[in-house]
Amino acid sequence: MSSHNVKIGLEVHVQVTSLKTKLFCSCSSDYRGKPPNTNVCPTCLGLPGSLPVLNAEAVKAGLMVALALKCSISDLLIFSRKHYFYPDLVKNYQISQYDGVGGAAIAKNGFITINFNGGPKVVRIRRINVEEDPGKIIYPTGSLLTSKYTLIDYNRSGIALLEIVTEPDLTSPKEARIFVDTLRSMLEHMGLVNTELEGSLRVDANISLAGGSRVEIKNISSSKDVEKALAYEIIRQSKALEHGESIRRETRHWDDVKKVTVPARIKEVEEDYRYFPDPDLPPIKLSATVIEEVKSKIPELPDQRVERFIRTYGLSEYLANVLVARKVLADYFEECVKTCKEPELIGNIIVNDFKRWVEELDLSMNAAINMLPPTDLCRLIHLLNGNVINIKILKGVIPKVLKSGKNVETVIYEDGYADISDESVLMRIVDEVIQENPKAVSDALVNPKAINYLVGQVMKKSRGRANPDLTNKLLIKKLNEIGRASGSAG
Amino acid sequence: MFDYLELWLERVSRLALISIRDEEREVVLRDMKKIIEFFNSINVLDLADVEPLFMVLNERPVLRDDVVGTSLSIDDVLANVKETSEGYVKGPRTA
Amino acid sequence: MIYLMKLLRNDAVELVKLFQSDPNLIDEYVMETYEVIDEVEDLIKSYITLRPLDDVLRDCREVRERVRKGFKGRLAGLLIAVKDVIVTKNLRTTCASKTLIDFLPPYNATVIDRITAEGGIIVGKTNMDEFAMGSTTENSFFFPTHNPWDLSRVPGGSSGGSATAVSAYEATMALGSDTGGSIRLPAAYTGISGLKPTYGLVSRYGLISYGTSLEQIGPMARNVGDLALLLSVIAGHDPRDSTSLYVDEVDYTRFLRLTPIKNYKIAVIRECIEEGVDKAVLTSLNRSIYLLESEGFEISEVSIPAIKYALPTYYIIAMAEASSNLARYDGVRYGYHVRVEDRLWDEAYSEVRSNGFGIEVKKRILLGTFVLSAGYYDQYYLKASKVRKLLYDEFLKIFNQYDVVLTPTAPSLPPKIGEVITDPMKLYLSDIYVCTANLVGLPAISIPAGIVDDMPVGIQLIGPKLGEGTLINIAYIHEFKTGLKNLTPTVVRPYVQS
Ligand SMILES: [Zn+2]
Repeated sequence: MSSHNVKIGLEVHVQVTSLKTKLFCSCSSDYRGKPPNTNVCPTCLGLPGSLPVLNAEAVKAGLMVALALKCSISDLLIFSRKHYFYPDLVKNYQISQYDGVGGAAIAKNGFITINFNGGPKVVRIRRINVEEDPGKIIYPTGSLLTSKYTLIDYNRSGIALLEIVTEPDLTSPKEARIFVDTLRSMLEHMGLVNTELEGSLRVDANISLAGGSRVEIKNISSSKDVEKALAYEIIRQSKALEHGESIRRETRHWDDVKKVTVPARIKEVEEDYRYFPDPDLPPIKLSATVIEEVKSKIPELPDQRVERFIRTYGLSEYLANVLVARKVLADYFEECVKTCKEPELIGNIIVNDFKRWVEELDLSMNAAINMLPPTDLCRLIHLLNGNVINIKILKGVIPKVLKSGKNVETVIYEDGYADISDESVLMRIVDEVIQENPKAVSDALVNPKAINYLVGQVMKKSRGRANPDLTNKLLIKKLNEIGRASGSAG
Repeated sequence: MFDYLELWLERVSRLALISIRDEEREVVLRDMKKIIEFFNSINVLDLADVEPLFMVLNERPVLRDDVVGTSLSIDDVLANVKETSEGYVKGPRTA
Repeated sequence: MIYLMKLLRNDAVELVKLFQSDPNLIDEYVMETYEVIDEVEDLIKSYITLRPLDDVLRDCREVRERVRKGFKGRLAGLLIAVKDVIVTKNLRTTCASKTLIDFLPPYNATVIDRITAEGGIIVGKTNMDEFAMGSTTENSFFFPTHNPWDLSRVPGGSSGGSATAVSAYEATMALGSDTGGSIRLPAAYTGISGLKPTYGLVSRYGLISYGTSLEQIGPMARNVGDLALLLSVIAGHDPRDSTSLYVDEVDYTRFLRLTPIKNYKIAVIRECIEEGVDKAVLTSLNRSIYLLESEGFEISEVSIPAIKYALPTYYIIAMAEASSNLARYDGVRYGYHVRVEDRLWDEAYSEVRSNGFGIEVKKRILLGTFVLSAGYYDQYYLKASKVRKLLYDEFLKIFNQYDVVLTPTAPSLPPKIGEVITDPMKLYLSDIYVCTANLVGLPAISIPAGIVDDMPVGIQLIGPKLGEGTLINIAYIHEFKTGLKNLTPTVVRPYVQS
């Protein structure tokens, strides 16, 4: 595949979910799950006479990302109007930014270093735009093609978006995936984007193979799908090229159910966005003071955190990288370590078991952590350290917890992994074992080493739950009683 | 000149989603021609060294704190919408 | 108490005082005004939407009760006519367009809230050129408005209905909007005063946009005192408008004094009196110059060669912005609509837009689209923005030396209805002296300077940034010297005199 000289560029749209309000009006940014058209005002509905007023926090969010992505920042924050007609766009123009005459992107010419094949790789960032999200179109039949009309919900209209555009520096689908993961983790660490929220991160990917035109794949909503969609495109385009067909420049959609790209089949409309500076929004000076203030508020970023994990916890580079790729996961790890130490063990369990199962079961990371909170994971570690359960059992408990939603205690008891430390309960088992094994009892009375057989029987009967120390103690006590009784009789 | 104008009109009509009815066409083309010539009168100026002024405001613009305000009631939102369905605004097809 | 004259002959400030002393007079004043409306409205056609008398009386009773309880609203009991480009909650707002024929805004413009907070009562929504695009108030979807001084003539535009409502005593005062002279031109044509404020002084929140970077809402009144009062109410910072200036509230009535605040230096722009000006206009202008000179003001001629490019520059920028501002009218969320079922969005939108907009609006949107389109942006929109900068710098220079600039408001007397509408060049020419103030964002006032052949003539004063006080002071002195105040067109006279 690499023979095709693949060039991939990404346009990543992220909602700044840390904001409480939309970009240009004071409607709530928390639009998800609300009845349609109940989270709108004259401004985000584009009513005649309404005006936009910029959310000051959005500027800071844009600047923080620009700084983290090592971009050069524009002297002026200029919004431009991008014109096209579409039913989700209330003004039939989008307030965005334009890197051209009269306009400027908030920042450009930055880079992100990703970790690929064990080495660092620099991916250049072309520009970052601050812009408004359109409303949401629902197709009553579920399909764009067969619906006779559209249903529009403007609750999302005006949500603050950052558009982050790379140069075509990526050369494989895997690399593209890692780029998105790296970027996502940075945004999470800055506290700007909760990427677990549906639709908070959307990717358009541009891909060209040597000898073919650039194809744009729209509507990809996860890094996993970025990889899949690009891999699909490479195969599709390579096949076409091998058959002597030409690849035409087009826009395709990623169908995340069928896992294929399909021609967008949108009516080809002439593209002439007629950008000009939005006269409703005078340019804002991005002063050194403001930039310094934002800079001072940038929290620890993923690369720093990876370094710290290696240094402080003695983790391998691999473990550290996997943990930090998701901020929630790295936070989870640190919480666990705080409670029960053992960073390497915990790191391994989180990466190799917990994370794997979360992905396999297609859970959200936050939901999974709620099911197995740090205290519960630490409880498992304690049982392991106390030799109550072995590592195999520990690994078995994790998926059971994640699948059933039951807590660790319940799973352990139901499945019989627990330690029976209750004397009266254990004594009943011990009594049974003694009655059922008279031969072994008499052996043990003369040969103390033979007690081990009885211990084993108690373990078996309790399906491993019996506390070994207590079992021993109770057996000795019981044998002593028997010995005294037979002695006095004989 | 008129052929060129016809083409021109077709292009801007497509971009602006505004069509000119046949009976208006002649007058519109005649007026457009006059107005574009009128616009062209600024072409005599040499403005190479002049910075454009897009808006006259030169002081700090108004910004907004990130505080949630009130939204419109659904009745107000839908009051002016001609076709609705269960709270949604009905729009035309997109494909 | 016996009134020797009808209440409505009083200046606004006097009326408010009278109402404070006897709140019952508010009803009487409303009745008087509606009697005038009954008599002249059919001839003049100021209003697209006139509020029913009962509704207005209900508001009026509310104000009356508040006044009784000690409310001292600066507009308490006054009747304000509002150009139909300013949104009013639950009161139809059409922009004189079929596109917005049934639009009921769910919110008020900031200026409306400010007016009602001071006890002002909205009397109705006035006629205008569709989306404020025009200079005659003939481009209304509903009907043309007639000039009360000569019903066969236009009242000017685009705030024609507001001008005639004031001029014909169908309201105490009015709000207009001025994108390229749309307050000042009709003010001049109907013998009243009209002011376009400094860009950013009055909130645009709720003003339906035409040329965003150019326009302001402003007051229109029969005398400078009333004008200053209304300006004082509507001016001020608004956090809902990003282009709003951070200004303190100013009481502009304190500039209503006959002793000049300083010895004003006035510049007359040579290019505005050299050619193309009607004799009637020049004569009035010269008389004003003479009067102001005799007041001790220093008057000089200055030259701004670039000003002859102001008109095409203004139209390029206004149309560019209009093409963008009017993109939202697609029938889906409000306004003129076509059934959407089984229609492609661009087809449906095109039908809505082609049927909903009038021909002048369509022309301007198409031209505006053109000047922003790929390959033409630099040649038109960018270039015009550079000319704008030249003019801006020129005016900065002038105001380093002078206090105000004096020009005619319009080059000629109001044209006959139908006379200029068919020729865009003739139509656009009426904005030649007024549009520059919009390009450079400076305040400008038109005041009556004479009556020639029973038609009013106006002059324009342009001030420096936030120089509204200076404009009002000079206008007030000029009004006193000329006696051109509360001018009453013949057609209205029988109904306003007791
Ligand atoms: Zn909103």
